[in-house]
Amino acid sequence: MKSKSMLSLSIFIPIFAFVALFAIYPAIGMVIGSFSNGSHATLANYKSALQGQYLSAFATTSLLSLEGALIGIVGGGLVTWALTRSRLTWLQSTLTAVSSVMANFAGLPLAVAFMATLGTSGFVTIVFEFLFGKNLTDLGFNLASATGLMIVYATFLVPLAVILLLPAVHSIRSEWEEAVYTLGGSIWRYIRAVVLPILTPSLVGTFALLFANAFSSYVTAYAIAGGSINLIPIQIGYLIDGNVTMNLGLGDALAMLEMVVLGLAVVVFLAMQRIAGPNKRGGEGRA
Amino acid sequence: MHKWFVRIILTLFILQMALPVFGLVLFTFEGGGNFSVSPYTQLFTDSAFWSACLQSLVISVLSVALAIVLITPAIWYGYMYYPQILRVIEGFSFISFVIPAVVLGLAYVQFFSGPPLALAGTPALLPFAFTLLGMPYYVQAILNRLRLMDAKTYHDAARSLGSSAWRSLLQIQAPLLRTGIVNGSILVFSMGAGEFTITDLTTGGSYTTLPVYIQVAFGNTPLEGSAMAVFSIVISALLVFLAMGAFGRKRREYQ
Amino acid sequence: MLSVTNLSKHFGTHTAVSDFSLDVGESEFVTLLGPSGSGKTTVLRMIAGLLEPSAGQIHIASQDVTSLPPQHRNIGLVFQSYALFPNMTAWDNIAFPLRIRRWRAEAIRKRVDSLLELVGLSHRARFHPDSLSGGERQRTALARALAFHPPLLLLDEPLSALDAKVRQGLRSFLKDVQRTTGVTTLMVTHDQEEALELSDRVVVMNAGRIEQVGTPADIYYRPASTFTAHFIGRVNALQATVRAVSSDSVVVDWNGVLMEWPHPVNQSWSAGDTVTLFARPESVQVSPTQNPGQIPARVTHLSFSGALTNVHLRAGDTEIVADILSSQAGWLTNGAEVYVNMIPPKRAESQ
Ligand SMILES: Nc1ncnc2c1ncn2[C@@H]1O[C@H](COP(=O)(O)OP(=O)(O)OP(=O)(O)O)[C@@H](O)[C@H]1O
Ligand SMILES: [Mg+2]
Repeated sequence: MKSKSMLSLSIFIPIFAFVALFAIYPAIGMVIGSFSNGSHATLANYKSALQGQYLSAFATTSLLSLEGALIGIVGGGLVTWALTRSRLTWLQSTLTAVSSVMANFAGLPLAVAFMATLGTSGFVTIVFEFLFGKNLTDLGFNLASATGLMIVYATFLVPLAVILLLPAVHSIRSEWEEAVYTLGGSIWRYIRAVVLPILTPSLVGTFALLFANAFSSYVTAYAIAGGSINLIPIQIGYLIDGNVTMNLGLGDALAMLEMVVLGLAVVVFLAMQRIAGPNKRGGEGRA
Repeated sequence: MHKWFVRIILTLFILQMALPVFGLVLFTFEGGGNFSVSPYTQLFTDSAFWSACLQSLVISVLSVALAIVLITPAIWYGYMYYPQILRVIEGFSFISFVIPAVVLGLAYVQFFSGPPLALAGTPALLPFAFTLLGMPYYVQAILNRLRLMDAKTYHDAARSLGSSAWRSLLQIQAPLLRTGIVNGSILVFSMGAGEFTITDLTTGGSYTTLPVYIQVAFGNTPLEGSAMAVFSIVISALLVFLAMGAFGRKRREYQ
Repeated sequence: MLSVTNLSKHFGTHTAVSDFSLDVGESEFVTLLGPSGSGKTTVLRMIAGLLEPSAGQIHIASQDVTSLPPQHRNIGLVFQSYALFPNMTAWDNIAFPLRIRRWRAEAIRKRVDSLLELVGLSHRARFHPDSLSGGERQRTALARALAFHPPLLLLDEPLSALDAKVRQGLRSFLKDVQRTTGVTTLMVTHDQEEALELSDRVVVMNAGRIEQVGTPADIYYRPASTFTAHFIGRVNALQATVRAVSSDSVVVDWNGVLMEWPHPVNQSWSAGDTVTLFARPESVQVSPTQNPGQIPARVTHLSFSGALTNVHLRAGDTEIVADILSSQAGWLTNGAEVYVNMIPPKRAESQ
């Protein structure tokens, strides 16, 4: 009996060893690194990480990520709703697949795609000028700005939201809407009293994940905005690349702070997933 | 009225998805001023491109193999007998959402650069990193499949017929788990095939995968770089449709 | 109370309901009975306002509601899947229509509590639908549909998702509730027993049309069509010739035996016609010696089913099934020569 349970628990050793070595060990290393200046313990790294350009980088990154998550959740929510309303199954499955592809479309290729689309000689810019006689740049549009970055982020955040929201939206049954109508309610009542309460956990969880995703975008942000927008991942990148004199302790501290923010977002996501769990569907006759 | 609303939303979404990709494709054909397919012919005759594809393929296949071997048995066994341990593993799987690529790269460079694990600067860390990044998706794919196929009943049946736990896993569960493994593998594969940041940081540019080569090519020959980006979008779309095919099969089996 | 005239519904080229007309009186319990796909749900959804009719009118309490949205029709509807809101407790589900109507909190509390009492769920008030059993959900859905005192209650196969035992109990419960509240009720079912037991009148539907409307006894004993006869229970179809017609009955000749038979409800028979008579198995009498009006037959097969024994007979070239009380069937054996006659159904009650 004893030998059997030893054998059975041994099946978990590889996975825990893997996580310990490749995730927890480096994370602990960074915690220690962030409190040291190479020879002895110090809080200086956090002090400098929480002031000046780094503090403002946190503010900018948080603000942009919130904005991106908001755009993602509203856009993704509408698209998901429209998808479940459309009766064309081929369109539903095609757009779901497209969402999976586009949710992973990031980095330099995405940035270049946008330069070729909305950049100064991008085709939309040219078509726009041809149609309306106005240059987008003259109208104040600049791809390498916060607005430009939001447009680019939306290209992967909206489809990501679609993928994350689809299961929850699918669990909403059309009879509920009809029931509200026969009981005397309007569509607004239906949305307020039934749809939103049922979707809230998924919406909050998805929002958290979109926020985390936007917050940790590095290559895309760097390629679009370069140094013109002060973002945390870009600051960390600088520290490693040696654009600034290599300061590992500071980099570690910035990374730790970023991980705290992301960790909170993921905890929110996991908690919401549990609330929205599989036994919260109900309603149909299961007897 | 809301029929129109549905149509407008879906049209806008399709435009949002299509325009940048269209812009990229257009750029590859007309970037030189007039229409030409030469970026693609150049690409397909560029041996460095093919070797980058090969490098990506090797690393991604290794990551997939690692994910299958490391994760599948633990998830299966936890699902059967140790739901608490399964929860812990599920929680751990989200670590990659907490540690962004640039941070993971920074950490690996620092802590795997000296003995006994002097792995930074070589591609040896990449399969581990990609398995970690793909872990949440792989775990969910396996769990979805386990929940759907009522694995416990099969397992009890196998055990009641006198089969050992390992035998049950290999001979009965593994074939049934196949669609879950395939789906999860596709997700890990696309993750590995598209990753740039960690590859660049931990290998110090010494190992050229496709995304790294695309990055390099953008600097030197932007048209060819764009053609490569188009190529990688096509590949990832193919992978997604493959995965959807596996989903479709799953649905058919259980209806 | 409810008046439906010439209602039709087409889905593309497919006609789901055609030319459906029905009047339902105050406090009446009417069921729509028919096989799957016969258009029952479609009729119900049009009355509720969830589906727009292709043609026809619907009046409720002599008000034309044909183009009124469902919100304003004030109809209680119980869905086949109950459609309880999963995010609300049983109590809140029932209070929902009252909150929409802006009842005072105190009035809502009173009404919901008394409804929960009526459906016997006071102790489950605080539970969410997914922790209620099928029967409890059904009763919650019923209470919700009745909460706002709708003058008309529509039920779409309210018992079909439940197992046989719960179903039997809820059937009489449903009838009790309908009687105590006096709400006019239109129920859809494809279970003939349910329809016969509960209804004041039954509407038999087939392929989008009404086959017959009548009391349960009418439908059972005096089916107006072969479809109705065969859809409801087992039946013997007998070929006979009409010999004489009087005001409300006919004399028919069946295999040389003359019988007085009620005139069918919506057909007109005249002397010399060859007609089909429908006789239920329990209306067949079997005896060992020939009485007047009986014809000879041979037992081909006997099957015991508890209280009744099904006796399969052949008389000439007609197959007949008779249900005999098992306690009185001891003398019957396979191959026995026996004599049979039919008990004619009673005349239709005046409607
Ligand atoms: N939205 C729709 N679009 C197209 N055809 C429909 C639609 N709704 C119903 N039908 C068709 O109309 C016919 C009648 O359907 P209905 O649901 O009214 O049948 P029913 O008598 O309620 O059957 P059941 O007992 O199976 O519930 C069927 O042939 C059905 O396929
Ligand atoms: Mg129906």
